[in-house]
Amino acid sequence: MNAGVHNLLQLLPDMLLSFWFFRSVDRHSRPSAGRGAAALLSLFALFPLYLTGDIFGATLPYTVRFLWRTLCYMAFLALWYSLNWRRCVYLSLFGCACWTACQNILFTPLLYPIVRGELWPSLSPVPREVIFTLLRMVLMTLPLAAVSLLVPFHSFVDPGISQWGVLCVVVLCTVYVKDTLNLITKTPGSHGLESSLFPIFLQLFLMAFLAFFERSLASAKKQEEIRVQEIVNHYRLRNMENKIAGDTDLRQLHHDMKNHLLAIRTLADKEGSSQAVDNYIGSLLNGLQGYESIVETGNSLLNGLMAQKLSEAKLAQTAMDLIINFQKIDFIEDMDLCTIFGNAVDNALEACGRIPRSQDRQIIIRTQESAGQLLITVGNTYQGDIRLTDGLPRTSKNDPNSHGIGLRNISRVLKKYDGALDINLDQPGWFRLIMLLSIPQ
Amino acid sequence: MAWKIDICDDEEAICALLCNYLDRMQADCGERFQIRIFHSAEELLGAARPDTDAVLLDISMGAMTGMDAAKELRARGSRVALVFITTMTQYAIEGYEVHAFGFLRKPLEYRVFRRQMEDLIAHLRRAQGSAWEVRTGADSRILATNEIVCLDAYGHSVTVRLADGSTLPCSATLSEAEGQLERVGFFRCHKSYLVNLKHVKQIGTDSVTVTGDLVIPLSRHRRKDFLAAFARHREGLL
Repeated sequence: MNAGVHNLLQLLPDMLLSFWFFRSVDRHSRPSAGRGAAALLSLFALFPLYLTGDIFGATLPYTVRFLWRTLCYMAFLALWYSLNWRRCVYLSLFGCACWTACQNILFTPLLYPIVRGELWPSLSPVPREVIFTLLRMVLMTLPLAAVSLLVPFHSFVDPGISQWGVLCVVVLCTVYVKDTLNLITKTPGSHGLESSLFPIFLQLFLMAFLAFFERSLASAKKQEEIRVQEIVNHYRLRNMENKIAGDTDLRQLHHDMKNHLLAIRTLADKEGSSQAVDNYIGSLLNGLQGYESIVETGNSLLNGLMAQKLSEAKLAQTAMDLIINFQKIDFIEDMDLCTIFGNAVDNALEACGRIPRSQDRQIIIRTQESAGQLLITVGNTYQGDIRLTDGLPRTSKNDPNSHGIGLRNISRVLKKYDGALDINLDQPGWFRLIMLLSIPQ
Repeated sequence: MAWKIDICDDEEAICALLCNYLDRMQADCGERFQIRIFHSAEELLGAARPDTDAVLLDISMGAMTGMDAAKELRARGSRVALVFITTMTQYAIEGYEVHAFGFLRKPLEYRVFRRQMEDLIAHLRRAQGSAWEVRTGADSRILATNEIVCLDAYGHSVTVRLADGSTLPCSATLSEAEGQLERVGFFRCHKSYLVNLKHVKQIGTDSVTVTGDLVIPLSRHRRKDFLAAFARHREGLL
């Protein structure tokens, strides 16, 4: 069989397997025909790895082969799934690490002669090549398929620093094992069973570890989503309860109005009645405040959140005013809305809580739209010094672990909306946090 | 120059207290105020003048509330700064709709009042702009910074673009101009452009549209600082 056909025979299953391995990665839209063709071409670019005619290709160093495969995968992922470069690099390294680990298993002194058909020298070359190429692919496919099925590629987001760390360790480990196996397997003479079983198990465990690590990250993320959803639901419910309470108040008031007016007339008929009438009206007005504290921002989640914060502010004897209009703002996700307003108002309440005189505690929350941007300002009075580090105030909490977490979370969310954050201390005693988000066109 | 302040409250005592606080501020901070007092929304609207800087407006008054008066003022196109005097409540959307500058809560506290007023004055001052002397070769001209849309540099020549569409040559370098104009709300959004944040109409990913529909580039690495400067500048502007 000529070398070209032979190589193609090995390349095709490799391409198929690689394609299948990443199949559940999330993709926003189907790639265009041109993009799709380019993506497949980038998998075809794996062919130099087979030019040596041996899947363990002795002519190129392993690191070069590894990097080449990584580059091909990166191009494929970028074109086919339109991932950003971080995800492309991570996933292609992930795929290559698994691929190399599987190859390492075949590369052990125990399996190497079998998968190369060396134990059956009597077979004629053509069926031998076909049979053993297929056998190799099947053996490669089993662990790779297991990893691909276990890893929740669909919920994959930008990898964090610890994910990079784990992946790098696994990559180094597989490449190192491959190098070691090369020495062992190519050394003539008999090898003990351990020298094969140890690397086989090591590689299988490594792949399982990587797969379960990704799974546990995904489930932690899921848990977090559920937790945030619960918070969102809580505020929604709170808004509904407030509305119902307000409606009941209003109906009650309407019902009582006649009685109140009669009572006022009776009071007014008496001698020296002005004080009594005044007191009576005063108590009525106080009763009305409950209805007035219903917040209307144009967004039911924000209404609930603000109602909650307003009652917290009331308990803390802090004046809080809102100038908010979210009627046309619908581009911010629920959990992000909670992060922005929840953290910003909590910080303001906390700063006000340290002011001894309740008359000096004041918070104002304002939104405005300008030049295609949404500006959210939370201003509050404070007492004492605020020192800024990297533009963010140093926490005054005793617990150093919660150091600036709130503001950092806000920053993270703002980044997502192509926004920015500014802290203004120009006016003494007045802390102003301005958050900016770009309104999508 | 004195700030023209209208006070509108149906309670005589509140009006007197506010006047007293403003007097105290004149003594404390050297600000000067020209005060007019009204006791009803109708009276305020009847005497409205275009050059009033701010109105301190009671929300709960007789037939026409302060909020109604505010809506009417805005409907007439007034851009005056509105500060509401109120007992407790927050007016989320309503306050937004009339572009409220802030709320003063009864009982009125001097310190709280002064802080709000200082905020207001800082805002008025920003809105007012300032004057900038520009050298145009041998001559020099005084420009109102509010009239300047942006400055751009092409090679060694710097051009000042004004809101009316005209341009002026400028013999200062862009960096010199930046040094002088930064504190009055200008930002270097690109190495060749210094923009007046007041005239920014739309912010894109890599460009900014300013008055006169001029599109000027926004450097990627300056974008974050630009947005922060923009946010700081716009905050409180009506």
